[in-house]
Amino acid sequence: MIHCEKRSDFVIIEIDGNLDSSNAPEAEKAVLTALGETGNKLVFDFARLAYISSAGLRAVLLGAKTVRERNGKFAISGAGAPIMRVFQLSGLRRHFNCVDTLAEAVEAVK
Amino acid sequence: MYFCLENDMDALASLIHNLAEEPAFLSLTPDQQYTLQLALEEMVTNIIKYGYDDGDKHHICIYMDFLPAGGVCVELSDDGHPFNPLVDAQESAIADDLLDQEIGGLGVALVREMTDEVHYRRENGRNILSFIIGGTRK
Repeated sequence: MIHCEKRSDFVIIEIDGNLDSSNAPEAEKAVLTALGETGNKLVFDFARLAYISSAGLRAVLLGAKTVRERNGKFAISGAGAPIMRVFQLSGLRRHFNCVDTLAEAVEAVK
Repeated sequence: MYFCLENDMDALASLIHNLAEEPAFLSLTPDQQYTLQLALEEMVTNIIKYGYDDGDKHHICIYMDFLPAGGVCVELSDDGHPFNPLVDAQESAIADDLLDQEIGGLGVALVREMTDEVHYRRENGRNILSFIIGGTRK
């Protein structure tokens, strides 16, 4: 399930369960819609994410790149060991600011 | 264990859903289960998206041999265009800077990284892709 929350000037996208080819297009759309024309602060809360595939990585990268192009900030919170393993093995870990808690992620994009 | 599915994404989703309840699947380690799900999703998605241009129904066959010592050997076969994902798939390099990073083309590289072996051959008009998770070829 994809849950999207807009707080003052930043966006939190929380994804429960899987982020794969079945829901990645929906996630991409949710990210771009929530950021709108100018949004440039984005947090992915992955505390309840159990599985991500390359389609999911694509959605995360799209969000990260979009805010970076707008000179904004991006963070991922709560990703468990299986998700971190995929970040690591895909080589994308270097592009992602990963922190433990949502509070830390919110602080990081402020 | 043998599955045969039609070339549509719903069939892939239900295969993965059903697989998750198989005792043999559950006997794999959590990392191996993850890798198997991911490798099936990546490779079957590629076949469905790029393997055909005739709009007809095709069958993708999946044979899984769960190894007594742990791990699994998988063979995927399809009658799509000749396509060796290990050579022909467009893969994106990992850029130093996020701004230069391509956002697609990550699937095949990920499967290569996560599995122990991946092999491709073309045989009797079919693409045959095999991979091994948590073991080696005898």
